[in-house]
Amino acid sequence: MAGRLPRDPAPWAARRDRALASPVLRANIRSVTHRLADARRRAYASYPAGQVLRVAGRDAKRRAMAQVEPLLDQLRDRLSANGARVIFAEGPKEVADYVVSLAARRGAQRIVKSKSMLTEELDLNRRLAAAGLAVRETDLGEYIIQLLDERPSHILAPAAHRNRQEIHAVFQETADREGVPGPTSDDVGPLTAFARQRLREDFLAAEIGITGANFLVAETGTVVLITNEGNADMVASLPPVHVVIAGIDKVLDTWDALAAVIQQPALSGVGQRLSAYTTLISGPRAAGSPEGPEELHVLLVDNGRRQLLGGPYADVLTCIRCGACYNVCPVYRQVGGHAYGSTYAGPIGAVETPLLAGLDFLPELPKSLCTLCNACVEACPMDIALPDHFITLRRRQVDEGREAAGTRLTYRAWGRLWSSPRQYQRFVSWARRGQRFMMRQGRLVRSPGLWAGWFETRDMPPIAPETFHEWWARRSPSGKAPV
Amino acid sequence: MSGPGGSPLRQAFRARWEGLGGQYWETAPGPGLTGTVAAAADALIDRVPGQKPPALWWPGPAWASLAWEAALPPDRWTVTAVTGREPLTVGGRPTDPTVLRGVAASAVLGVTGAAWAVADTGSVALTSAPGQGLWPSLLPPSHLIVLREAQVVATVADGLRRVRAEGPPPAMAKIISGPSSTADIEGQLWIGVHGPGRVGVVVVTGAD
Ligand code: SF4
Repeated sequence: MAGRLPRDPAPWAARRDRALASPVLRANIRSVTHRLADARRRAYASYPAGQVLRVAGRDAKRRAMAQVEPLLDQLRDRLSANGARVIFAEGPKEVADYVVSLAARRGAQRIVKSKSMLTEELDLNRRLAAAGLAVRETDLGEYIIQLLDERPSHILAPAAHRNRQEIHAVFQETADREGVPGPTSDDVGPLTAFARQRLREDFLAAEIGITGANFLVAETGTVVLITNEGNADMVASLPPVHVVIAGIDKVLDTWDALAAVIQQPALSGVGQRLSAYTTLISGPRAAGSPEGPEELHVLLVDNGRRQLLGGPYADVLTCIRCGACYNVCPVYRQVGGHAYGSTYAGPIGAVETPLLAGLDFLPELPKSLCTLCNACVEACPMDIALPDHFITLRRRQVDEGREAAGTRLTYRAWGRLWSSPRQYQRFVSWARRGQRFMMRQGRLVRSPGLWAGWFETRDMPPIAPETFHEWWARRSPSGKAPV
Repeated sequence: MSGPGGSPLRQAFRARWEGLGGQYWETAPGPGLTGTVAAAADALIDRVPGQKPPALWWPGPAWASLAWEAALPPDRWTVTAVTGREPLTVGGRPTDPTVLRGVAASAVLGVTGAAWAVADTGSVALTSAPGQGLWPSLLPPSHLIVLREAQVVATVADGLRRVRAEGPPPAMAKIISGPSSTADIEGQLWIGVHGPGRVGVVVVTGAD
């Protein structure tokens, strides 16, 4: 079944223009993406074992995606034997309903969360807030955008589109509202200290903690969480109830498979051999243990994933959300995450969003937000065939009649016109005759029909008075242009 | 005992751990250990003259022979030392874990042992167990780990294999690689967000 994803209601052109008109967003996205892409390159260059692990990790993920159902059964059995409760959930409503009724049973009001793209995909915070629950995001970037009521603009740096002054302003506002002293300045240190202090109180008061999962190990019934801040550890070990909300695509078969892939999120994401905190949870608090939650709930969510299993796009489910493809993408580097209008941005977001939610959902993503430059597939540690998927998704949009008739007919006519050299040359000489009405300061700046949109943000040199073909024909004894 | 400079694994661990921003001390087994732990503990905090900062001592049963009173002398520290296993005891009296959570949240230093460490990544792994909590590694702003050289393995896979060899994995295990950090504000690296901003390890050298 198709999944349900939230989207920005604004049309693509508006989202794009908003992004291009924001200098803060563009400068920050540029520096974050370059920094992370360079860090990844350097990390692999200085660590040959990383490549070996990458291939083993990729194979482990592919192996798991080829046998998801039996692995999920095994995972459920192991986790249940370890004392956890395992629930298979279809989509956003089922997940939210489960958490709401759990909170009611526990008499819980306050929830702390560590960063999870899946809960963004499920629009969980909004649903929980509607049920009267107070949800606090605890990853620093997520905390910032939660206060600003925004969505993440980068998978690893959710607030990458905001600068220190803006963050200081929203922290000060929060402090005034809560009657506490605000950050002492807009330097990173005081801002971070303010968030640490505020969130510390939330960690200690919360009755439920919600995390995602980076990996799930079927063999042992283990949930793996990876962060640099340490907030997932707080969320998982301080409140009396821990709820893990994970996509079914996170499952791995064995403990050895985990060993193969465990370093990849950090290596490909931020260029470290391992993030500061890698936490392996295999059950609630054990008898005699002082710590850990009394209850551990693990929700295994489909939301459009199962329909991809066994098909031509199954490799999309091996994504480890490292963000490496975002960081090298020439489109993402210009517009950042919000312009995609979807939970997942960058090349993987443009491919995966319509695959999860249906080809009519944000159809511009595969169509307009890819230059087919292939940078993403070079960066992707899982070797996901992103450019191939862009091409087949575009083909399906056309073959399945999802394109407007006008567009389809125009492209067909254009294709026919340029498919023979003689017609191409005839086209060029017509265009040369017409172009003087389309020029400004010696550049072509306008065009009729189909090409008009292209010129909205670009210009090009005019067609030369004599093209190379014409020059050649004039000099060649046969009087014919080369073909 | 290996030759001067230490075994390759220990050296590699040290280089990567320090590269991540961790502090490092090593000492031969024996009477020098408490002094090294005391020096490390002092180096990991900013001491306000005249105050006795709160610390949570919880290195676990493997370090029962290490006297906390010598490492964190009561005239310099306000120490909560968790010693017993089941039930947990502080100063000979059984203690509720939630009390310890509060202690961990207000301590400036937590002292723990470790399960294993990884040379390749400069990481230290801790596991929860009866009598052993992980809060002192998470809530205080500084965290000191005592570790035996024999616990250092080459790769993460080797460490994970150790966990498996001991049976089903523990309810919680964490692999710590350097201090808590973030780059969420304008991409600037900042050390010490939610977890400890200062982490140190004392390695007791020798083959066992
Ligand atoms: S598609 Fe590949 S590069 Fe992009 S986030 Fe997923 S794993 Fe990383």
